Amino acid sequence: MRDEPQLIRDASAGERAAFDELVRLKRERVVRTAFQVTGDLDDAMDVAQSVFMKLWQGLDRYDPRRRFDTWLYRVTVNAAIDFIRGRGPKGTIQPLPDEPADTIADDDPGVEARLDLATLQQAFSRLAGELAPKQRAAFVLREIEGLDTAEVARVMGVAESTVRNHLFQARKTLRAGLERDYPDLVPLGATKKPKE
Amino acid sequence: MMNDHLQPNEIAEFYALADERRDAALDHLGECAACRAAWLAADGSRVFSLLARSPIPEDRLEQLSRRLDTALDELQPRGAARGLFRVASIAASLLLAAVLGAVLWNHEGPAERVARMEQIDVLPPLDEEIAGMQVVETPSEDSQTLSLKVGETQILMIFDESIEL
Repeated sequence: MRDEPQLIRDASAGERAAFDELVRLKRERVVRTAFQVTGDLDDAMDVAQSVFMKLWQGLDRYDPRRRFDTWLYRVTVNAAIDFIRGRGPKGTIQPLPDEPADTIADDDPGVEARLDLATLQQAFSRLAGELAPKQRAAFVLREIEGLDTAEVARVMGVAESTVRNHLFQARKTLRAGLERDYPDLVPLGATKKPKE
Repeated sequence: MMNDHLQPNEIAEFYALADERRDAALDHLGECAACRAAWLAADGSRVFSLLARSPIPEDRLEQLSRRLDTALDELQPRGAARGLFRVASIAASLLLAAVLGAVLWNHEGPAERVARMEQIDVLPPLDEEIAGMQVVETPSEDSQTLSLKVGETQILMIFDESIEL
């Protein structure tokens, strides 16, 4: 079993098997990021495919001194933002659906205290439609992918202060949306306390 | 990995948790309403962090790999594409060299150019050459003042080799 740096080296040299393994290793992260930025799983699949095609064609230009995941996130976020800009305002406010979304699997929701991830996903897909693409991307990278602010700035190619500003605006909008449309998802008062 | 409730310091410094710890904490937060309430008290929008624990269906990921396989098979191999680029570059260079060679071959040499320049005795006065252009004065061989009038606008041009900019 080859480790990640070895896979990257072999894939860079044009070895398809190594590239396939690299795709397996990274595909969920790429699809999840693209899905949360575009708000649509089918669109995310298209974005992910274009990301991996670019990866295959440009991997020999990857600088191994830089973090591979940062580069991958960057390609993914740029492709996703380009996609939603080209697609038009599909993500803007949509009516609340009656049925829970079924695009993302939710494991056995048997525990009473368990948060319903399908409902949470539905809420995010809807409320994030109110965000500008870069605000949305910054929020996804920071909150869902768990990158720190400096890493988000590197991925997005902007200053950390710009990322903080995007996050501030995104949180403000999402808190307002949660309070307005999904009060059951968060405890009373939790939507009113700004963090940054 | 983390079945115990989150400690207050873990909630306060949630963003500083190491990746594995964070993943375990998110698993717990997804299932424990009490910890979740304490965690969300800082900021309700944090709740969306839990989407990190929401898996993409495996069949969709497999579908992506299949689509990618097909697309890559149809794509020209990277090495072949580069080989083609190299051949095209060499061909373009040879073509450029041939064109430049032909131009230079037919181009006059320095001696011919001097001979042709000697045939030009005196250029006609500027005021005959360009409509609207008048020589105001020519105080020396190295300086001259010209006037160009276009409509209501007049431009004075001073040519003087002794002026250093």
